[in-house]
Amino acid sequence: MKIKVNGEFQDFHGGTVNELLRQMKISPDFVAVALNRKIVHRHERDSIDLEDGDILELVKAAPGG
Amino acid sequence: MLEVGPFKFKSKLVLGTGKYESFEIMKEALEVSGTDLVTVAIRRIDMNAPQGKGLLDFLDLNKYKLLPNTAGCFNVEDAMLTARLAREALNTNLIKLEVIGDKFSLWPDMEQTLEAAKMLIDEGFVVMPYCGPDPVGAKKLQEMGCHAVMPLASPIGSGLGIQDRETLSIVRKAITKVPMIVDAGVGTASDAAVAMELGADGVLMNTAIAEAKDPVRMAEAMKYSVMAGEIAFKAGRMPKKFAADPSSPTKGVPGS
Repeated sequence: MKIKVNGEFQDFHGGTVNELLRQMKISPDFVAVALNRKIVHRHERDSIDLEDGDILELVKAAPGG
Repeated sequence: MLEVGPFKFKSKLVLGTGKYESFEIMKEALEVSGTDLVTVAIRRIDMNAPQGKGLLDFLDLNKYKLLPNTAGCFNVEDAMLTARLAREALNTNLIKLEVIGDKFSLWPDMEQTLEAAKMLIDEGFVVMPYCGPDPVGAKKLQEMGCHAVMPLASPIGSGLGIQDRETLSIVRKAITKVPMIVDAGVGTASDAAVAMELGADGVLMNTAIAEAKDPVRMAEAMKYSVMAGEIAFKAGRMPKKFAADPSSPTKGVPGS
């Protein structure tokens, strides 16, 4: 299935938010996830299954003022 | 001491983390400045380089409280999403609210800032909104329950200093319940001192340090200028006069 992550389409074999983070080799600390513009809380990352066409934002702190 | 909602900070200097040549220089500048509150942006993870050292590897979270911002947001929806993401990523309810209305000047959109501030307060955030030097808008932010009010001194990143001292003084008079932190526009140490002399409770800056020739030295200058400005404000400046007033006795001048 195809999902959109940070503005780019990606192939994903299916699974939870945490499985996506692992596939993308993203360390889950200090990272936030929004699924279709709604926050996925840490405790939900293992229980929410992604679906075809989902739009995700994966963000972290960056330099700024 | 700077108190914002439930949080207490030793320093009245709030520093950004953007535009430094390296994280090492940023780290040293922050240390030298004595700040304990630093702003960060919230941005998408680079999918091509999801690992590797990042900003947080250079920030000692026992030393600094993070103040995430909503920089780059031009509407309420994006600001709310960014604020919620920030809270989730950094486990803090502190937020520096920016809703920008104009790309050229990066002037805040007060209508949308007020709307977003209300929603954020309702969701339990400690809200520090960036606003124009506008006493009416600033007071509205205060009355709705924002935890600080942060008027700009001149456009973000411009280094133009305090462009309108008189108006900023009027804002100062309007903001009596929460800290007023001058945010944006400081170019050098004297600007920070002037902000404090006008009665600001703190100064937030980024580019003035990051783009100085020697950021670490400028960070040190800012530390002292904020302290000097605060002490001068407390000391109370002499009244301005329109003619000279000799400091030495006019009587007993030799040969007269």
